[in-house]
Amino acid sequence: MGKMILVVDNQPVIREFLVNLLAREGHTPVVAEDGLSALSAMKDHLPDVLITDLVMPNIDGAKLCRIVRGTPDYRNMFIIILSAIAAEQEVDLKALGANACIAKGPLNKMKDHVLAVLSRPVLDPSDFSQKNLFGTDEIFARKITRELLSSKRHAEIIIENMAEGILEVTQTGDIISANRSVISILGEREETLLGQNLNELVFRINGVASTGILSRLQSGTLPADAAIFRGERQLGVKPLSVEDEHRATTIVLVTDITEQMRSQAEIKRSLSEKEVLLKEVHHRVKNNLAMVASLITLQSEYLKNRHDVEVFEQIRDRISSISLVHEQLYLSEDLTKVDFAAYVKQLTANLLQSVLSGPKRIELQIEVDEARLDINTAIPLGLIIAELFTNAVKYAFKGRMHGAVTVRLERRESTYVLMVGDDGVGLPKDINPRTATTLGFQLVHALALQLNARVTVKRHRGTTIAVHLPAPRT
Amino acid sequence: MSVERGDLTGRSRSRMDIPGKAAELEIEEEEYRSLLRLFLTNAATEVEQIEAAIRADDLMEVARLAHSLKGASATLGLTELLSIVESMDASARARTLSPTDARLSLLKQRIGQISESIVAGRG
Repeated sequence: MGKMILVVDNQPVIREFLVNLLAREGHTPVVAEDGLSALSAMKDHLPDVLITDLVMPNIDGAKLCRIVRGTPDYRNMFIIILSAIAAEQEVDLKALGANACIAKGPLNKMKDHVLAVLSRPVLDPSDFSQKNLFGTDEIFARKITRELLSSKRHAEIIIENMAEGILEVTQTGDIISANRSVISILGEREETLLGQNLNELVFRINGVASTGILSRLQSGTLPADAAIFRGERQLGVKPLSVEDEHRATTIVLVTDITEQMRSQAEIKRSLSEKEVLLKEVHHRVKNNLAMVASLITLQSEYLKNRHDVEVFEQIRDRISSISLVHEQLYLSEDLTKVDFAAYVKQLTANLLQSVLSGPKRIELQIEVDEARLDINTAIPLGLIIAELFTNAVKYAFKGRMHGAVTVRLERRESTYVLMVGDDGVGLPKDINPRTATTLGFQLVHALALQLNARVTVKRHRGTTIAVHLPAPRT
Repeated sequence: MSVERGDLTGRSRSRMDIPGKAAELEIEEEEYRSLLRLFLTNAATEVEQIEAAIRADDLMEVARLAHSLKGASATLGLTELLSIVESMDASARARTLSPTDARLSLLKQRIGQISESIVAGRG
């Protein structure tokens, strides 16, 4: 009884010969030139027998066998391998899922073997017995094919075991190879994946179930940061076009980035949690310092001596200038840097209110370059400003009703220069700020030392004291 | 399988005995001729592709094309062609095959002779 026989070989001579032979024998031959077209031919004509080569472009013979054996509709198909490879190495029929193997050789020998197999009374698709190897004595191509196979196998082993998913698709998007990783990532079986069009697979892209992923990626209409999901897994999908004179296919790299995205979100969440905590800590430090300052104010009301009161006020102002740094910190965006311009404006305004009494009018000029300083710089520098500013307001305008105080911070190449100047009466001739023993000047020097800074004094139309500190590397 | 020195000089040989070959392969002469013609339509292109692959130093591609050519020539009993392709493929692996290798022209010449034999046989 004639059978429907699908012949798959990329060599037209073999196809033609078998078609003629099979037709003469009363069978119905159908041909395909590679595994991919074989799969599509099977959908139209369900063959009783598949005769296939092993080395073919697109989907090769071994894969074609796997797909057939994995597809329930094809379970009755009898598979004959017809390949030159069979002549130089023992083909493992059971591993391939094939029922017979015939080595390519001279036409008459090949014909005898094919007809011998086909004329059996029963073609049992579950018989994988290794005795069904034929023509293996007609060796004509020896080690060359073996080497081809071994270098091919080497690359295949690497690709098969990569953690990254790899698909190869034709120009129209038909999947012709899929490694183990991509099969598991896409959650498909190999036999349903191979031969299917990648554009027909459904992915959830930015929340919408969509097809056409490959064409969208290739045309650039899918943004690079699009969230691509397949089931519960988030995927990175990257097509690489492979074109040379022999073929034009696309390799699609598919990576499971579920864990990566999850830990990124986790890091973000934990970071924002820490920011909230840090903000809270700065807030509390600021409140506690403010409370200390209030306690000092309260206590100073019991003092009888005007000089003692001033001492208490100085302590309070110094504490407040530190408290203000913490306030600026929890108001700032990154919690580690103080917006120094805002800080100086508020600090000087607070100090002016605290120090200035009576009808004297002091003009403030604040010129601070954009600077974001960390807490280790901001606190000592803030204290220095507080000392110099308080000094200027208190003593520079003795006997005058008005004056101007300038606070300036300049960013230069590798330094910051802080200047606190006044247009007042000038430092008494006998006071040298470098050697002065008052607490204020001692503090300025100690804090400058802490900042690795140098202090200079200019006595011209009042007094200007400058602090040169190395700019912190950003 | 080594190629005889004489082959490399490209000295012309007698035409192929098509009826004899067909008898040896137990196939009708007409069918054999038609298979040969089918082989020839692709062989010339395949040889050109082999040349290109050698130039591109693409060993896998040389091997793949040689494999296809060998399969067909073995099936059709073209043993001499088979030996030439095998020998060239071995050299390609040893990296001693250049795009100007004499065996390439020999290959083309042999294919040409088969072609002539078919035309002559028809007349």
